[in-house]
Amino acid sequence: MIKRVTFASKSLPYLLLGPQLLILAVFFFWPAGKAIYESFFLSDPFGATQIFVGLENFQMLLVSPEYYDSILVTLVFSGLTTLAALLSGFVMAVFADRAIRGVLVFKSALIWPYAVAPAVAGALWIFLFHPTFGSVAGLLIALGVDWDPLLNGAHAMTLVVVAAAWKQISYNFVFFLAGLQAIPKSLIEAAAIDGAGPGKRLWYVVIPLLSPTTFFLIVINIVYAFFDTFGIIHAVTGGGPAGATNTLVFKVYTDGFENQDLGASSAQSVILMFIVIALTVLQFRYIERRVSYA
Amino acid sequence: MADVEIRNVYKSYGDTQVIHGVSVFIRDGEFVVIVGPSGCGKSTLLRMIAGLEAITSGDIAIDGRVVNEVEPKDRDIAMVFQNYALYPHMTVAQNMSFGLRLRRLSKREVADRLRRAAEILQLSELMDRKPRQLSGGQRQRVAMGRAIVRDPAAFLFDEPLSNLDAKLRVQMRLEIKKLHRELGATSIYVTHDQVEAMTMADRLIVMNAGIAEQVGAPLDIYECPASAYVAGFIGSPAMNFLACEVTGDGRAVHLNGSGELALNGNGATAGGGVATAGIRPEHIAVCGGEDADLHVTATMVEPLGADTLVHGALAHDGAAAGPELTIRLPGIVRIQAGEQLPLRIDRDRIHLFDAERGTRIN
Repeated sequence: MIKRVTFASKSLPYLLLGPQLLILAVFFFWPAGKAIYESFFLSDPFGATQIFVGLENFQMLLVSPEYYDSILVTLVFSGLTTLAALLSGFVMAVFADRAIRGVLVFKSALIWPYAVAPAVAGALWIFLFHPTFGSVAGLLIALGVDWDPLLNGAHAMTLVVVAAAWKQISYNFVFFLAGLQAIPKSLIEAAAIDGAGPGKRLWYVVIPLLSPTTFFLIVINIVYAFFDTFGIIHAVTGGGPAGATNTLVFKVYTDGFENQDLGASSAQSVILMFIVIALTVLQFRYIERRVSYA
Repeated sequence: MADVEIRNVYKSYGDTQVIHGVSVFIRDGEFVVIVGPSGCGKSTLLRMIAGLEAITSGDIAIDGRVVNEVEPKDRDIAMVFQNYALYPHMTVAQNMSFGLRLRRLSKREVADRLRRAAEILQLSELMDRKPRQLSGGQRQRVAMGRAIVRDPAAFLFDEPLSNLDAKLRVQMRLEIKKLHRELGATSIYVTHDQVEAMTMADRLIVMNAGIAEQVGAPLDIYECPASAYVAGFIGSPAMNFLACEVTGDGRAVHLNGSGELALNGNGATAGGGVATAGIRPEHIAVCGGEDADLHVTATMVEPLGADTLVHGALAHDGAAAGPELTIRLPGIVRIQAGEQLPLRIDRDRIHLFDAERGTRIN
């Protein structure tokens, strides 16, 4: 049953919601509305003239092979980043949960990457993996790997996925660790007595009980990979080589700010907005059903 | 089914020793209750039998096999936890069959055992529910069911009733006892509730600060507690303790302000000196003034219907000044606070304890 709150004064609820709505209006509805508006116009690079073109911006996108490439790149990038970030975060949380000594050091050290700005993280990774001066890259090349993320699309994708996942591991780690620690110890002990070894306890008891956390993190990580990884891609590959890491968000930026095609860029952000809405609805409808909120 | 032997078991966490050498032999089919206040090490002892805590030194053997290094799952025991520890994402049937499925029993065997356990525990209607849809008593039953289906060598209970309300606790107490009679499995039951301890146990282990103070049948312990600690812990309301002086021959005592009380055939092992006399509240009666051993001034009266508890202070020369005393009188007795009562003590039932060490000396 949903609890209904009644207010004595009619203006109080509006007053309470006010600040939140104001923030939403200024930082979401206004720019989003502006993007939708712009997507119907063709503007000159200086914004001096605007011609109404209807849905032409969208039509152009839907016949552009580059756009479909970008969608594919985004799907691969987001999928891999989410998977890598979730798995690593989970494994580290399981270790930290078992650790008896030095947990605090371990936890603090793991949380640092989250405090690093995306662009800085990107710069860091390209410094490590740059084919000519990167220290790790040097090692790879010495080992006989033909490493070159500046020319090889697969290498570039690997590098941005690793960099993007690396930044998100901390976040996932913290949530997984909290989730693990919320599982009553007696449940694990009961499973141990019931005959489950560590692996089976993880599979049959811990992972199902963590499902609300996992579900939440999947949503957060996909949204992160879609939107918050611009800085990393910008610093590491700049969308290249040959569009191999040109995700939808990055393409919005290059088309809008570098190619000065504001209409096309706006149309892309509108589509992106709908993709994310659809994605989230799908996730809640189909994945949440399998989640047990104990 | 099996016997369980605990041989000189010690447990330390770092430098802190919490169990200081416990040895008990639990016979096949016996229902043994470990009772003691919180922090006495009773749960730790049980968890060592289960394999959830490492044994620092000594041995635990189940069915003659030393299990110190054996994983919990290979010890052939089942445990019922205080908070039930049901898997919240599984139905009742899944909860109960989890252990069987992990052991790869055939589907038919699993279904058979589930059905039997469900019948015994009246859970048949609830098999498809999730734990959160069950009441406390039902969850308790499922936890029992999970143990029963395994058909283990021994059942371990860790305060299984302490999360239930008083009425349900009495009911489940009887059910567990009945179940034990039907299944006849070796059971080790930890509780801090002395009523559970007294009513359920074939044998009782009274623990205090990491040692087993006394092991024996409940009534033997009640009638002949080995130490002042056990005497005070078992029995409610608690035993009264009074300082006393033992006569030279050990045949009689002088209580605080009383005359000489002869200990009929119950004399102290050594004569002379001060000791602590323990007298249960039910072994004191109100008498005619000339027979009185002691006088108390009633400070509080608690009529319970079946009996009446009188709390009072020993009176000296008409003033209530001495130590507190509790008296249990059968039936309803009309006594007002402030009234002075002449009391007679049942001489056959005076317990004497060493004044310093607390050990029994008669």
